[in-house]
Amino acid sequence: MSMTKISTITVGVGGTNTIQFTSIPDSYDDLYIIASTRNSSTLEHVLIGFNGSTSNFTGRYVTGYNTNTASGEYARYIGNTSTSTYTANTFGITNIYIPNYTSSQYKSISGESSGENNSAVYWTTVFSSNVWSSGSAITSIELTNETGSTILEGSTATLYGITKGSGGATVS
Amino acid sequence: MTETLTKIVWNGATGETSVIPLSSEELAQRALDVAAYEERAAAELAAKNALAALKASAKAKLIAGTPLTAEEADTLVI
Repeated sequence: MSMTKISTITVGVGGTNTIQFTSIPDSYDDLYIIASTRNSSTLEHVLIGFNGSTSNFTGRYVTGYNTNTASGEYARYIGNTSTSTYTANTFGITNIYIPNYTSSQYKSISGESSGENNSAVYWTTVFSSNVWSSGSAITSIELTNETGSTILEGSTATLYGITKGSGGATVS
Repeated sequence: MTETLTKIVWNGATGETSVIPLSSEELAQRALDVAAYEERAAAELAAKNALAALKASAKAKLIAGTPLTAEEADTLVI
């Protein structure tokens, strides 16, 4: 297996509402994104979209926050960010894996995330799983906050292409 | 002055990264996301408060030795 960095998006001064990778090369087998984000809101949820669409997503999550746990259904919910109330200069981490992104089958999306916060009172970890019920190849990926808040300066998202097998050969 | 909402876009065909204002469709979706969040948050709060009320009522009835409703019993039985 090989992992190739495709691109890193870095949020500059003033922040942004959405991070988007477009015209993603179709030469890999899977995609992997590492997002390091902080937002201007007091809420943590990061949402994902494909090909400019937010339709046809079904999602479930399990989360741990403070001394609590919770689970539920939440389409497009992929992970957590650190918020404006969290420790200064701290960013949440979201890892997103998308296997077979060019397939004509439905796409699965796995998320593992932590809203980093140097506090004994409030922090969050999340495992999420989404299905995009579309047979279209994924050519663009969008990340945004559920409350439409600003993704702050210093946030980054790096897109990697994953190729099966040594040197790209299929593992049999 | 009205704030201009933007997105940062990396284009794999050109390798270029641009800051672009959100389209009218994206602004509309953003509004839908916010509304959906507010609805979900309200529903979760209502459910949390309802469960807390049921538990409190169940506990009080247990102490008083009076019958619980099925809903109250469900909060206690694993």
